[in-house]
Amino acid sequence: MPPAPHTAVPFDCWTTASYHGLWNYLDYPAMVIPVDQVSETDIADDLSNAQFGTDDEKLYSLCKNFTISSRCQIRH
Amino acid sequence: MAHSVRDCNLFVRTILEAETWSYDSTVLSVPWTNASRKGKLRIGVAQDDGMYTPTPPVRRVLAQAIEALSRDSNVEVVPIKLPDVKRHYYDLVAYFTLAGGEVCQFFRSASVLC
Repeated sequence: MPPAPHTAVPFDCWTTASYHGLWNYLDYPAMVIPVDQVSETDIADDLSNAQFGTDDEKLYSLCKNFTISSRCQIRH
Repeated sequence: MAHSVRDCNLFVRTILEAETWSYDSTVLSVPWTNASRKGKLRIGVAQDDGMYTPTPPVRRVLAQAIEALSRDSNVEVVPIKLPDVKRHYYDLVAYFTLAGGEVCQFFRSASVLC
């Protein structure tokens, strides 16, 4: 699964540790593998894709203009 | 940060074969067994955690990784759904905070007295 639901966010906007905190809580060994860079084909799509309520929509709406320097990773 | 699985293998094997538990009582005594692979490697894939939706680049990259893994005949990819992450996440935050976050309520109610 991904280590976070998003790539880089603006300063002070990181809201949740639910993705990587879960493995911390379970005391599982974990590693993060870099996969790819954000590309121009990744566009911010409709807010209706955010499936889990208003908090999710708020976080999903942070995804606006992607810069090439953001990196995508998966957590193993 | 290693660059290959072979590097990781060498690193862990060197450390474990040194038998450091003979010198440091806090080390777990796990010897290097050099076990070989039995059957397929099963990898569970969680697309999201049930609380927040991954953004498009993250979804694309996860799909790329799953596709690359599925192509390998030694790997079995299993989709999984994580159960009740919200409750576990709030448990985690309670562990990390002082008195499970209750101290914030105390300060909020204490300010009424001033």
